[in-house]
Amino acid sequence: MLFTDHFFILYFFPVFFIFYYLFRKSLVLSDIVLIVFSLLFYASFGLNNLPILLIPMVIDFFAGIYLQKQKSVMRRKIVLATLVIGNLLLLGYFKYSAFTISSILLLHTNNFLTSLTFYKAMIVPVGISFITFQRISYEIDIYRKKIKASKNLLQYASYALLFPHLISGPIVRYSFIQDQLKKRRLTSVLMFEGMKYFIIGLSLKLLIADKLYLVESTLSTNLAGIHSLEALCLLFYFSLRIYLDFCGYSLIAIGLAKLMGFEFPNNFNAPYQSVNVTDFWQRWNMTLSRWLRDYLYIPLGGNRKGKFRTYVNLIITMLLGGLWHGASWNFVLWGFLHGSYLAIERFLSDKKITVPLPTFIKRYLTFILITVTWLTFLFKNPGDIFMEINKIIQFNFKLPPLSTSILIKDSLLALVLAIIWSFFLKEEYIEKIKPNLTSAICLVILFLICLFNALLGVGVPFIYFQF
Amino acid sequence: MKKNILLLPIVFWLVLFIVEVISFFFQHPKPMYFRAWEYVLNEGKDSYYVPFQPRIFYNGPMTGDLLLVANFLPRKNDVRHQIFQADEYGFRNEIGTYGKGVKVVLMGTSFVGGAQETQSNLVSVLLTNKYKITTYNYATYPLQRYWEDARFVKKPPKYVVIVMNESEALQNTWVEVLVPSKTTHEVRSWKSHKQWMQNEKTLDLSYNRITTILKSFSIVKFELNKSYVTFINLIFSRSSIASNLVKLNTYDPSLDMLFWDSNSYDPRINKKAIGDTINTLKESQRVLKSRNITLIVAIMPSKTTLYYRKYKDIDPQNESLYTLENAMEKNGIEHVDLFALMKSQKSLLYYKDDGHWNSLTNKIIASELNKKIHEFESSKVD
Repeated sequence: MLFTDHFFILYFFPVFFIFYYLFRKSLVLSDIVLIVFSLLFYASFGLNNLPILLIPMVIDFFAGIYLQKQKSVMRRKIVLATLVIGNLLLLGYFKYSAFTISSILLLHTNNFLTSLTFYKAMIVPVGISFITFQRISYEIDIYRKKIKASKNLLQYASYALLFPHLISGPIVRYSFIQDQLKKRRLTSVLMFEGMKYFIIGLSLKLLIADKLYLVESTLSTNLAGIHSLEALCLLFYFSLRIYLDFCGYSLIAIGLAKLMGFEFPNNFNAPYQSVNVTDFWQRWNMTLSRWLRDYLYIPLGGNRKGKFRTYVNLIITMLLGGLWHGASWNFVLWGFLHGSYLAIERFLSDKKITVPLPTFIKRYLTFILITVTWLTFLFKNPGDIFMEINKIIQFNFKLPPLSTSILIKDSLLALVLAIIWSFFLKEEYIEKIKPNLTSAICLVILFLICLFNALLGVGVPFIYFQF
Repeated sequence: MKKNILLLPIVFWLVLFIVEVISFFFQHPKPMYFRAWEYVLNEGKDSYYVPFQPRIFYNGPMTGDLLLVANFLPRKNDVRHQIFQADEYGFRNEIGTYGKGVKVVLMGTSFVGGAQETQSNLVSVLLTNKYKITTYNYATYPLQRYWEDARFVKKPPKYVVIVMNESEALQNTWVEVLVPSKTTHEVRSWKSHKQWMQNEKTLDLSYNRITTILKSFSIVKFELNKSYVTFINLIFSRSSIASNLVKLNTYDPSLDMLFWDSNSYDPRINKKAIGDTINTLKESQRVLKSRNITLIVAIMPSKTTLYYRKYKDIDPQNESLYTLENAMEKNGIEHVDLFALMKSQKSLLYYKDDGHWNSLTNKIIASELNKKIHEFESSKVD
C-alpha cells in the first residue's frame, strides 16, 4: 500500500482516522487503533512480513528492559552487542546474504546471470533497513542512558510500528518521541498542519516527481539510442526526481503523523542549495545523516583520533551508509564517493584551503557533483553508468525524437516547479503557511488535483520504498 | 468559527471517503467509454486458450477504443450498439456451432474476434449464414493454440483461414513457428454462463484483488475523470486535445480520425519483415498439410496504410503488403488479395474512433473468402 494509492487515500486512512479520532481521549485505545492499522498497513505488502516485524519488536522490548537493569558495564556491553548483532544479522540475512553469495558466485563462476538470478530470488521485507536502524538506536540509547527503556508494550509497539514512517522513514528515535507517546492532542490547528504537510508532500510526489519519471524512464530504457542532450536530461531529471520523490514521502509521513498528534523531525532542508557536500549531508535525509553520525561515525572515533582517522572514518561511515541503501555494488560506490568528497572537504578545511567563489557558483558546482554521483544510484549495472557518461561526453547534441520531445514538453511545468522548489524554496517555508480560510481552500483544491493524478495516473512507487 | 475553518481540508477528505463508501454499495458509475470486449474476457481458471466467458451474452452500447486514449468525450453518434455472444467454449460463435461440424476455422486477433463489431457482422457469421460455409470463430493466436486444441484433432476442419491486419502480419505477431507436438488441450464445454461463474467463484480476499475492485467502482475517480474530460472537451477542440498525445495514436482533424499505429508502423517496404512472414506462413502451411488442412491467408491493409496522410499516397510498389501478396503468390501460399481491392474502396473501411476495421470491411472479406473457397473447391473437382 502506497500513500498515493486509491485504497490508502479513500479507504484506509479515513477509516483509521475516524477510529483514532473517536478514541483520542484514551491513550490505550488510540494506541491499539494505531497498532492494528499499522499492522494492516504492513500486512498489505505480504502477510509473511508480519512475523519479521513483530517477533524482533517484542524481543527488543523485553531486551531493552533487561539491558537497563544491568549494573555491570561488561554485561551491558554484552547485552547491547547481542541485540545490535541480532538486528544486524536479521537485516544481513534478508538484505545482504543474497548479495554476498551472488558476489561470491560471480567471483568463482564468472557467470553474471547465475549470480543475478540468485540475487533476485531473495525477497527483502519492505522497509527493513529503516526499521533496523530505528531498533538499533533504541538499544544504544538505553545503553548510553539517554533514554529509559519503555515498560509499556503498547506504547513501545506504537512507536515501533507507527505506519507513516514504518517503511521509508524519517528515522524517528525513541528519545525524540517518548513524551509524545505518553501525551498527545489532536487540535484543529494540528490537523490543519497535518493536512498541509500531507497535501504538499502528495503534490511533490504526484504532480512533480511522477511527471519527471515519465521522461526519465523513457530515456533510461532506451539508453543505447539516446544522444548527449537526452543523456543530460536523464541525469538532471533523475536528480530532481529522487529529491522530490523522497522529500514528498517525508512530508506525507510528517503530515500523517501530525494528524495523529505526533511531531516527526524534518528530513530535508533545501539540499540542492548546499554550498558543499558536507553542507549537503546536513540537509539531505537528515534523520539518516544524524543516525550515521551518532551511531557509526562517533563510535568509530569521529574526529577524536587524529586527522587521518577522521578521513577514514568519514569514508567508512558513508560506505556503510551506501550499503544500507541496498545490497548492491553501485550503492557501495555511491557511499564511497560521498565519503571521499567529505574527506577531501575536511582535508581542505584542515589545511585552511578555501576557494573564494560566489555562493551561487558553489551551489551550482555542488549540485553538479551530487547529480553526477546519482548516476551510481540510477544504474545498478556499471555498463549503463559508463554508457551514460559516454553519451554525455560525446557532445552529440541531436534533437530527441518526436515522441521524447512531446514527453519533455509535457513535463515542462513539472520541471519548472521542480527547479523552483529545489533551488529557490525551503521546506521550512511550509511551516510559515498561515492557517486561514484561503490556505484551507487552496489545500482542498490542491488535494483534488493530487487525487486526480493519484487515481488516474500511472502509480509510480516511491524510490525509497526499495530500501 | 475560525478554528472550524481549519478543519475544512480534513472534513473534505472524510466527506469524499463517505461518498466513496456509499457509492460502492448503491451507485456504480456508468462508464463514459465502454466496450463489451473488456468485460467479457475470460480471466478465469480455464482461460488458457479461451478468450471470452463461455455463453456470455451482451446486448448494449459501445464506444471506440481510441476515444479513451485520446480523452475525447464521446458524441451521441460515437455510441454504437453491439451484440456480443460467446459459445459454450468461450469463442465468439453461436452456441452449438462446433457441434454441427465446421468447414472453416477462422483465426485472428481482436479484428476477427470483433472487438468493435456486433455479432451478425462478424466474418465468421457472414460466412456461415450468408455463404453457407460453416465457420468457427477462433479468435486466438498464435496458430499453435489451434494445433493443440483437442476439438480440432477429433473433428478437423477443411480450412484454417487466418485473417489479420497488415501491421500484425508484418510486426512479429505471427512470426512464430508452429511446433507440431503431440500435446493437446481439452477446452471445456459449459452448460450455462452461471455454471461457469459458479466454478470461477473462489473467495479471493487478497489485498490486490480487493483494492482493484474498490478502485474500479470508485465514484471519486469516475467523477474526477468525467469532469476533466468534459472540461477539456468544452474548452479545447479535438485537434488541440490530440496535439498533446504522446502515445501511439494520432488524430487527423480533416478526417476526424484517430490512429493507433501511425507512429509505430511504417507500411513502406520492409524486406526482412516480409521474409519472416513468408517463412512462418510456409512452415504453418506445411504443418497443417500433415493433417490435410488447407491454410488460407487474408491480410487487410492497416488503417495507417489506407488513411494516414504521410503514407496514403505512396506508390504501391513500395508498400510491404503489395510485395507480401506477390511473395505469397510466388511461394504457393493460398491467399486472398485485399491490398488493391481495399485501396480502391471509396467508403470508409475503418472506424474513425477505433483501431479496428468496420462491418463493410468484414462483408468484403467474407465475400472474398467465399470466392476463394469456392474457387479452390471447384478447381479440386476439375
